[in-house]
Amino acid sequence: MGLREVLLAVFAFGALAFALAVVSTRNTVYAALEFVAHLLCLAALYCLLDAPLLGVLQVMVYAGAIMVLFLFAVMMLDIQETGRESAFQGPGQVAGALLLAALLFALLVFGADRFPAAALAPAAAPGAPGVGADNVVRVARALFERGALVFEAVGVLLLTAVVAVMVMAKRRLEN
Amino acid sequence: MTPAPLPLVPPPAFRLGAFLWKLVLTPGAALSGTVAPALRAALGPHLPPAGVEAVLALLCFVAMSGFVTVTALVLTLAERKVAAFFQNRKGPNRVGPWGLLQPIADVVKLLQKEDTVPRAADRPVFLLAPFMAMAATYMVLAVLPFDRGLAVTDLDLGVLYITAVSGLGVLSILMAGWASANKYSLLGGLRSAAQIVSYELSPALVVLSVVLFSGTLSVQGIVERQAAGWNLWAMGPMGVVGMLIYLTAGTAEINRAPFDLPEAESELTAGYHTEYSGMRFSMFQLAEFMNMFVVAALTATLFLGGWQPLGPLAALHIPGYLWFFGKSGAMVFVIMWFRWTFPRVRVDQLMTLEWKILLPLSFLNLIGVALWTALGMK
Repeated sequence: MGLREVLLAVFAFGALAFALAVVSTRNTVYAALEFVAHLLCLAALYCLLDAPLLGVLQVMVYAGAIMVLFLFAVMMLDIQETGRESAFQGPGQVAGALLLAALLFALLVFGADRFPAAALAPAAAPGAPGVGADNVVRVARALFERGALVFEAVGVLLLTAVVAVMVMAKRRLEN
Repeated sequence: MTPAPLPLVPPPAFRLGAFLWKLVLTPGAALSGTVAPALRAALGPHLPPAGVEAVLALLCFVAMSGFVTVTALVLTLAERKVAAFFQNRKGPNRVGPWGLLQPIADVVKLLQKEDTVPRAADRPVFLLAPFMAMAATYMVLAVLPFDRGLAVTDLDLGVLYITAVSGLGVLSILMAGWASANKYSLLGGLRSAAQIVSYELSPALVVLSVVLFSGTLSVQGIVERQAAGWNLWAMGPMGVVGMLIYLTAGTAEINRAPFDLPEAESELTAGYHTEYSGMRFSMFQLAEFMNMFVVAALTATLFLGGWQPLGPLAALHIPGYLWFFGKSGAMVFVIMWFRWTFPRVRVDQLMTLEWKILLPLSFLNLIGVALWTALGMK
């Protein structure tokens, strides 16, 4: 068992444990911090699975920007006192959650068998030098060659959303 | 039967001397070419491959810790001496010759201070926050290129990685501000979050323009591409503008004066670290000093050629790390110079500067660099 497998196991269990902590913690700020930890574990998993670009973008966009704004809002509102009751209410909810988790797990286990192995094979040897740079080139090709139209359309959509937010915020200020 | 020729092996003392000489001139080649293979060969039979890599990573961590300690000591003294220089006084001059041992005395003072936690504070988060600050700083240090081949690691996505992990430091400030259960700390933390999230944008765009020009995301690659000319002038007018934007926004991102609103002592006592004392306070201080060094070093790496010598001076064969530290030191001096030249800005001025001046300027700069590169001006 190489370092890679050990780290994969550590971060996979870390991601699971933090995800469970997010939904079971009462304190909102704790939940947000645990969510950051969960996102960092996911980023480490992406890096270990030869998708370093995805891992780095995950840290940059989610852990570094979105979660910071989220924490900002949670801390400013100071909603510690609201979530006093436990996240899980009654045995029915727990049983339902466990059942759903088991179903999803079974789906993953049996689904993974059917998946064509060729689609999962990495382009280069895992962990080989240059995989990261190649990763950027391949993502760029997918985005700007095959998906250029969709990419531009999403860009216009986001720009529209930003302008719309500014118009709405401005109107509220004037009233 | 001819006698076997005498093996031409130099005596051990000579080999040690040659190795040390190599270590001084090209530490990157000496460490990655001689020391690392020797360690791998020595540890290989005793440990699984994962263990060998873990030991090497641990050694890198120990070496970086030593580097952090020395840099922080030098920077605390430099900060006080530079402040004294600008205010026309002597600065620390009692402990040791010219006050050189002052940082050691400071460390001893901080070490023996009581480590207090306010009763109303959220204990786990309060205790964790300083470590988070240190962790974010260490993660950036991992890809800092000190010399050719001299870095903990050279990631293919190096520049992107730096942009990503340097954004994590703000989490520690938010955690400290909230966990202190103190309105001044909370305000400091919230101000810091707004400031850092805003000031992440224009440095990222400037870094993007350098990447566009260099054609690589690797930090070492960007330095290698500056062998013919530093980006400062190789990129034309965009190099100068880009460097000014990067240095200004970098100073704001590390919360230093004149952008030190999260700890503005005249309004917020000491902002997010008001309630911290002793070692935990000094960890925040250490992270702040190291972040200043990182911003200075990255400015030197992205625009001033990193460890590359200055054109004709290459003939002097000055080791690359001396160039790196010289350029970084000059940038640290400029950042300290800012502090004693500009009065602290207001929150609205801070936001105006980023969103209405620096951000549009860095977009224009990016377009300029794209045209410059497309027209083949490199």
